Amino acid sequence: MYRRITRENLKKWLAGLKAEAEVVAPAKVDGLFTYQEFNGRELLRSFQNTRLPPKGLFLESLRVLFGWKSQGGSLRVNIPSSFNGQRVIFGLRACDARALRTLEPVFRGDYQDVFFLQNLSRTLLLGLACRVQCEGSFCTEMGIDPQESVDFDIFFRESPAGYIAKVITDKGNELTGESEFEEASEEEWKLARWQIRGPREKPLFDLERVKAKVLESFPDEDFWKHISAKCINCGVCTYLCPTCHCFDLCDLQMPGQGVRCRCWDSCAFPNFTKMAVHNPREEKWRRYRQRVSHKFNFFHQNFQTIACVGCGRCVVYCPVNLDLREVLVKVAR
Amino acid sequence: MPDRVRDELLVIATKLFAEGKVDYFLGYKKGTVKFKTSPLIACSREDLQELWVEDFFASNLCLYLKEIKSRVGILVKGCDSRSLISLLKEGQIRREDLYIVGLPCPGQIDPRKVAGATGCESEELEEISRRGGEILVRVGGQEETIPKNQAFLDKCLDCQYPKPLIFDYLLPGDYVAPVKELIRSKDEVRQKQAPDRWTFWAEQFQRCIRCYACRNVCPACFCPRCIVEENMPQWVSPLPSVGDNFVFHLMRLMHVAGTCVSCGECERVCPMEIPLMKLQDKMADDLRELFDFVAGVDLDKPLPFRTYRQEDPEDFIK
Repeated sequence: MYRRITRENLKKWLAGLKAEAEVVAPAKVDGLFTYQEFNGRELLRSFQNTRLPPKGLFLESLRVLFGWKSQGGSLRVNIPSSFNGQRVIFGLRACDARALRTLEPVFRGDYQDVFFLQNLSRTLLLGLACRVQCEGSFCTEMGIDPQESVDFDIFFRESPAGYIAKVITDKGNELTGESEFEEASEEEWKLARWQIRGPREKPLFDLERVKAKVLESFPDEDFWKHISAKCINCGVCTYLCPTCHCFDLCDLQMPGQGVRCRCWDSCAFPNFTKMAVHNPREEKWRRYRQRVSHKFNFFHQNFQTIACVGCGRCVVYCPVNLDLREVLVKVAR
Repeated sequence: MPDRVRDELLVIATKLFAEGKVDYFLGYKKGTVKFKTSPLIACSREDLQELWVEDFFASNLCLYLKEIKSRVGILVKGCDSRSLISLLKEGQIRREDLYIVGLPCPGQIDPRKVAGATGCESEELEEISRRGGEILVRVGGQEETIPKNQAFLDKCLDCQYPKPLIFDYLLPGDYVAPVKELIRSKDEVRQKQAPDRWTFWAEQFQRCIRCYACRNVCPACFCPRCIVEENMPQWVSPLPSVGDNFVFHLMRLMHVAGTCVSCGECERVCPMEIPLMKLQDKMADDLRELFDFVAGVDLDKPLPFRTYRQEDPEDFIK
């Protein structure tokens, strides 16, 4: 099902949704592209992607899970009011949406993570097709088409007059059956496909080969030592990654009361696997090997999908230019 | 950078390996993304083939001396050499383990500033190169030139140490400040009243995700186990709340006082673009004023926070 809408009407429609839902869209804040509450007027015209991935809207970088207070011999537990207001996020990219779908089975497995799942179920995902190949990205090698995706409720492609929208879910259909949208044809949708600037002549690597070879290269200590030598063990790649999801629990306590919070954690940190007796990944190369192997093999073994969408953030923002694309090419050799 | 510099560097570095004088050579290689240079940790002559010297963000390689404790050859610009002096004074490296090669620096280009000067987004920049005394920029297929002082890192506009203060070999070139009239960039935040400064920094630290890139890239942060990683007791919460972020950053600032040489790496690597150099510059100014001390310059001058004398001023202790 396809619909058509002008730029002005899209803004009006999103502004109208604010009456019933929290509407979030990309904005430039302090020089950085980020997701912010839509002010009803300005919609960012051209941007590649946000600095931080939208995962922070589902798996928050800091979230209070519950609090407790000791009162006269008994314990009162206080669970913050649930986040169940409706929410609409516009301007998501195909890579980031695929990342959310990749995270879903992790939080909907043997244990249902109510915090993540509540955020997911209350949110309508509105995607925006890319017009440019992001620096450092390799989404196409990961099997993602930046202009075609089923991971959204509605996917928008820019057209000369505004947007052509592909309605994917019933929820999306309900919302766009209203006045501002007109019916469009599949032909219009096809015509709205952009010639993406910055294409590559041939793929950097073959994903199937990477998946197989990454397991084979596991015992090759020298390979992993050499390739991870310049890593500085910070959390930039993990925190900017839309599929990374490791977290830490932290209690803040005073006598008689406290809160338990969840925050992001990084497998690149030296103490990530430190336990009372032993740290199995004391050395940097072990952590880096684990990071790549987990994303490109172990996660696939568990959830039948690769935990990487090729968004390119880790490539561009790594302080020492440790390029995952280079690593994957070398692994695949 | 002229090829002859690169060629001479290759000769020196190859000789160091051939003569068994070093186990590693720290240099640069070509970056794989726009406007970036990658560090090169060469373990052998073969690795040296990737040696490259480029114009962008030739980062401070001294950070690897925190990890590499054997004999190492290292490429340093004038500003980086101050880190070496700092680390020597702190007893973190030994002079006899180092072979220091000096690199002439024409000033480091900051793509963010170039984007600001040309009125575009950083991601829209297509190419940046030097043309004579100006910087040539290409955006959307169009070329324009901007003056050097609009393209360089702030620290380069105020370069006091273009020539390495410690070295074994100097590569050919001019060791002069990249900009003729040294302009100390004005920090408007510092002019504000305390409540406004607090608001400014609270906004900045709201963005901090506690990735610790700033800490890990810093040559002055050489503690094997950082205090934020202690949890018995938890001195600083790992939670990225504004309060805890304030504590982390200000505490780090104080901890590196006297060792920090304002190399600017912390600000460069921050993925959230927090202007950390404002803090470091203020601290450097305070050190100069209160202790008549500049970090990483004088091998013999005692470190202000590692030494004590009876005559030390006490009037600021209330």
